[in-house]
Amino acid sequence: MCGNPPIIRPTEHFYFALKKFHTELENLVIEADSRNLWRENAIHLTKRYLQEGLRDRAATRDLELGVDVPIEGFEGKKIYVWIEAVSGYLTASKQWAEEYNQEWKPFWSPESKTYYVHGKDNIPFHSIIWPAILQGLGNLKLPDHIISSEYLTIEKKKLSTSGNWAVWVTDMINKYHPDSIRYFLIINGPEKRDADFSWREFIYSHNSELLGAFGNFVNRTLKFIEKSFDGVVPETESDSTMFDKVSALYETTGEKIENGEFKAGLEAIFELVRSSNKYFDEQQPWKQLREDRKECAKTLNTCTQIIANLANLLAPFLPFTAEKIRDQLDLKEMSWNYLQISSRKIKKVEPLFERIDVSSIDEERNKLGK
Amino acid sequence: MNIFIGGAWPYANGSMHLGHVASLLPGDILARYYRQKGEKVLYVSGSDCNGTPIAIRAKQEGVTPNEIADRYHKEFTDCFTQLGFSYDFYSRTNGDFHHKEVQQIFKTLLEKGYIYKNTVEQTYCETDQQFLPDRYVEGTCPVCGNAARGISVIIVQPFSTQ
Repeated sequence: MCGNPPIIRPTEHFYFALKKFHTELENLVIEADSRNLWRENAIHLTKRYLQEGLRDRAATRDLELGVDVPIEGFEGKKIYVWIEAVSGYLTASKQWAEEYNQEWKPFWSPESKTYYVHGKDNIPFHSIIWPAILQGLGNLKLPDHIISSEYLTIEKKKLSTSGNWAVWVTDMINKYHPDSIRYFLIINGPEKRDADFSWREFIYSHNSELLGAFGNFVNRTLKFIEKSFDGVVPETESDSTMFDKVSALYETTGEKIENGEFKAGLEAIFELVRSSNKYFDEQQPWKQLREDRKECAKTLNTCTQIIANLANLLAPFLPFTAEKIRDQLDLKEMSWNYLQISSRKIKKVEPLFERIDVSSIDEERNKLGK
Repeated sequence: MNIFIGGAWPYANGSMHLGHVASLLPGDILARYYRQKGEKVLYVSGSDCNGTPIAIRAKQEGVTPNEIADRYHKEFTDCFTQLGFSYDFYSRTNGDFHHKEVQQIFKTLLEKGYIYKNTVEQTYCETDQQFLPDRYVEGTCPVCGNAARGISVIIVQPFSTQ
């Protein structure tokens, strides 16, 4: 700080006996591996650290900012952040319980299921340090699932905050739909390898997938009902072939989510969106309306049932849009089960998404690195 | 069933970028999905408000470390809300509750013998009369010989904190 060279001087510090937990930590990663509970990168890195051998680590440090060591004679020293920060999971649980008059223990008991979600640079804190601390404290649930993402590159280059080669959330959220951001980051998620964000891909994915496929299916169905059925969903049977496709998704997508495969879960739902558009095209309700009004009613009822279920299935991924559909269809309860809705008056139909002008691609890209 | 979901704690010394969101978003999908299924969910996270980078930044800007942490904690909270993150509790590590509980955790580990005292050699500045936070020490890495800063100069740890 003053520029003079420092000297080396002995001082007392506390150490955490990490080595004592070696066997337990090894068992934990072996189980995670055999049951596929952690992402591959977490299993790999943790095994490597264990193979290299654990060392006891300093638990206190001479730092200015942090939690004071609560022991006499150690004034001015702080608890090292690697113990202090991960402990936040437990302290936040306790604080939540206190402020909302709830019980925190059921969420930390052996019967609970636990997930830890972070980037790959954080793996050892969640796969080694935190489980060791939890075992040291005793009677607290260890991590079941570790969802540790790979990195996101920007326009094929490593993200750099100092060089402003980054996309800042405060800028982006003011201009783009939160569900467009969520959709892109899930469908291109860095689950198994690094993923790239490019403005071209982002804007094209919004315009073609969200607006072009999903938004269009919802809009054309509801607009049709508004125009030709006075805005009332026709009361009739729906097509059973579509029913099977929709109801199967609750199980398959649910399983994917529980296993941390979000991309595959969302892809399966968009597969349904595409086949629903195809169904609409093949049924040709505009023709059915003239030739067989009953069949037309059936087509529109089927499409509306699909939309109602999409509002359920997409809610974890695209919560704002799911809410908008629920509002348009006047849906009450949200559930993770097939939903069959009755005839009802729909609210004024508005498009779910607006087209983003492709000129934004260059505009946004030019801001990078400056 | 009771489901606990812990999202990583963003560090409050700089703005949030898309890389953060990409790694944290899975937590929100899980929380929303399990709630929708009717399970009991506790989804927590918070801002990491301690550590030397915040202290350094505060000195550079001539403000208190708390002002830095407050600024980014507020930004994070706004970003998360606008992106639809459904935390049951979003905390911060410079709060009193967290400090007291962490001290309790430290004491418990000490009582059970998992934390012990050790004498170490550390860099000390005779001019300023204090032991130096790792980040302020510049030198060469004892392993590879390249210019290094902080803990790698003094003691090579198996992994760093940042």
